[in-house]
Parts: sequence; C-alpha cells; structure tokens
Amino acid sequence: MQFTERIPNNWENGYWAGSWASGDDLYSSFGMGKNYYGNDNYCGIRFPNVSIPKGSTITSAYLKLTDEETKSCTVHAKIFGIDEDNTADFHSDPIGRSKTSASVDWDQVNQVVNTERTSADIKAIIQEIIDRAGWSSGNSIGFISQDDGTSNDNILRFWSYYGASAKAPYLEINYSPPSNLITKDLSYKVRRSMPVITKLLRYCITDQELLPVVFNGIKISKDGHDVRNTKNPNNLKISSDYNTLKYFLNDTHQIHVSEDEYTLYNVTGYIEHNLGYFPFAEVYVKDDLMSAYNPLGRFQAGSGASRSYFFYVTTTRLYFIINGWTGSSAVDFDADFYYKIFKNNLGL
Amino acid sequence: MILALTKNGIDVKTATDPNDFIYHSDYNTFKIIGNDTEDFTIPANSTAIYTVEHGLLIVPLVKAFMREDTKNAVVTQNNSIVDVVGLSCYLSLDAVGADYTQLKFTITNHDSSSHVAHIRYWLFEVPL
Repeated sequence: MQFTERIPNNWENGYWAGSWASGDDLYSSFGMGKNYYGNDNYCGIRFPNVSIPKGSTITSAYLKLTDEETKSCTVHAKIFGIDEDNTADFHSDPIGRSKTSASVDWDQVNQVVNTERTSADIKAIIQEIIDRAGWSSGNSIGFISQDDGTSNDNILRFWSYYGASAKAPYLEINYSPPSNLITKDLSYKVRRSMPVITKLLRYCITDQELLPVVFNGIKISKDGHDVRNTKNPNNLKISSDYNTLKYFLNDTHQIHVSEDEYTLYNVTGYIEHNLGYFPFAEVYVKDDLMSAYNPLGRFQAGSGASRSYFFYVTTTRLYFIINGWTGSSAVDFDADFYYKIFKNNLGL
Repeated sequence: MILALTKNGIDVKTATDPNDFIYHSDYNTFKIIGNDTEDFTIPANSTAIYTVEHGLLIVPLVKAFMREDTKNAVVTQNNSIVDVVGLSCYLSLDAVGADYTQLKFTITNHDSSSHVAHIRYWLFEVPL
C-alpha cells in the first residue's frame, strides 16, 4: 500500500537562516547548507494526517523537494525524523525537538530550477516513528535537516508551500499493513456483502474498536444450537476449526479373473493418480457373488473357494489386488472396484 | 435460509442433487477431528495390538494407513497383502479399532527380522 502527501500549508515547512521562519514569515523558498559565516542553515518539514496503521512495515519511503533556483553548490546534509508521536507544526523552531536515531545522508550538488530531487530511502526513519508506542494513524510526521560537512556559503534552496504549492515538499511511503487489519477489512466486507448469513457467522475481528474477539474462522451450527457457544463438532454443520476430506476423483475399475480348479491366483490392476504423494483413498468392490459394493476384505466363494480384495497406494498409482483360491468350482468373473481418492496427503 | 455453493456449471437456484453442491448448509460435513502419525517397531514373527490414547471421550470413526519401513507403498486397515506379487510386504495391518479412550492397531510381522510400521490415522466425527 502507498501513502503520499504534499504539505498542505506554509506552517508545514520552516527554515533557519539567522532566525527561524515559517508560515507567514517564510516566503518562496527554504534551504539547507551552510551560510557565509559557517552556520548550519537547517530546515523543517512536516506532513500532517499520515494514515499509516500502527504495526505496519515500511517497505520504502522518499522525501521529494523541488529546486527553487539554478546555481552551482555542494551540500552535505543529514535528514532526521522528529522523534515524537504527533509532532507540532513549525510555529516555533523545531531544533530542540528529539531526533530519530535513524537518519539518511542527503549529499547534493548544483541546482536546476524546478527539478525535483528525491532523497535516499528514509524507511528506517518512518519505521522508527510509527513504531513509537504513542503512534496512531492520522498523526503527523516531521523531518529536520542537519549539516554534515558542507563548506561555508553553500546553500540549496527549494520551493516552499507559499512559493509554489504544487512543488512544495512531497512524501511517499510504501508499506504493508499489519495482518490484523487485513482481517478486519475482510470481515467488514463479509458483513456488508452477505447480510443473509450474518446471524450464522462469527467474524474474524481482532481490532478492539469492533466486536470482541471470538475466534478466527467460520462456523455454521445445526438447527437448535447456538453457534456462539457450542464446541461439539457434531453440533456444527461446518467449522473451520476442523479439516475435511478434499475430493479429488472417483471412478470404477474392472478386473477380469480367469480361474482354474484348485489354483491360487493373484491378479493386479491399477489406475494413475499422479499426485506425487500418498493420498487418502477409499475402495469398495462388487463381483458376481455380491449384490452391492462392499468394503474390501476376504469373502467365501463356495466349495472351499475364497476371494480376497485389497488395495494399496503409491505416490502415482492406486493398485487393486485380487488374491484367491479356486477350490473345485472354477468360474471366470469380473470384479468392479469403486474408488474415491482425496487430495489429503497421508504424509507417510 | 440456506448457504449453498454449487459446482461449476450448476445453477445453485435449481440444483437439488447433493452431489452438485460443493457446500450446502442443509448437509453436515464429515469433519476430521483428529489426525496424527505413530511409529511402531514390530518384532520378528509376531502379532501385537498397539494402542494410542485419543482423548476424545467418544468412540470416533477411525481410518488408518500403514507404510512399511522399506516399502514405497501404503496399505489401509484390514489389508493383509503380504506376498502380493510386486509388493512383498512383511507387515500387515490386520485390524484397527477404537473405544472411548484408545485407538487399537493390530499389526503382524511375517518376517524373521523386526520392521517399523509407520501409521497415519484419521479420526472422524460420529454424526448424531
């Protein structure tokens, strides 16, 4: 996400050049560098109403200033944040305000009027301020420059709000909001777009300004049960606290068996699933002696004969096995295996 | 009042076949209420019942799968597929059961060396 702002009035920038000037006392420009006598001509810039949620991660941030004149000079400066929860505007000189421990170098040479300059990444400064215990979204963020070895009589000048509001200082912050706020937003959308189920859902809300935290997920209870109180899974039609089988495919596979008298036999068939892991599977069988599909196992087949049906899975195939003894009454038959494969990984 | 979601191509307003729904709030879902793995070392030429406490205070439906230590195949309960052509397992998962406190796995080792049985079990709710 991105936050951008250009300062909205002339009290949001200020400049020390022998004395502090801001608001009505600051004219077309402000600057940074050293004057003829070797004094640090510093500036302050403040951005009000910075809507960055507390707990956000700043991924990058930049301060942009626009040259007010064209000239040759070299300035070595550092930019600090003002280490306050909600720094005030610049009716007064901010030099005594606490500075952030984070700073960035801003070394600049020469100026060309109306050229926009972009600072190095100031994300560490922004992060330090929004990580303050007292930070709230909508507070103000301020910056102050400090000389870092400029030779005397080298000063860069930038457009102030009064001089050219469209070229006044500009702030860009790119950030990732805290995950609990994303959750809050999703819950809000669910509530807005699906009012018919609001009675059945308990929202995933972790922000204290909305409803109390109940749990993170979705539950729908059976009739007669209060979804807010029941913990028995049997009283819930669906609950995101519990996993379910994830259907993959089902079909039938037929294996033909040719029998000879008094013979042991093994017959194998398979189908490909190609999931790459051992999946959860269920198999049933029906042969000429069965009236319905049965769980696999060992079955009598008359006259001392028996048939045993098995299956096993590999990471690519589902195998079907018929293992039998014909006894005295050999009969050719077909066995139909009905299988269901689920995407649940056995992890074995 | 229902919450229903049909498969692709099925009109949710007219569908009546439960198989056409990905989810339908009139039907219970078959919830997995437990899921874990256990390893048992089975002594040579022996059959034993191995138990695991499930802690649910109900008798759950249980489905178990077993992979033998050196095999790249998984069998399910009640499948004694030793000596099957192409697999030649030494272990059989003869039975799987449950009571109010424990899961019970009956495993036989048909070989003269010990083998490890890797078990994955799934416990399902028992709809009332």
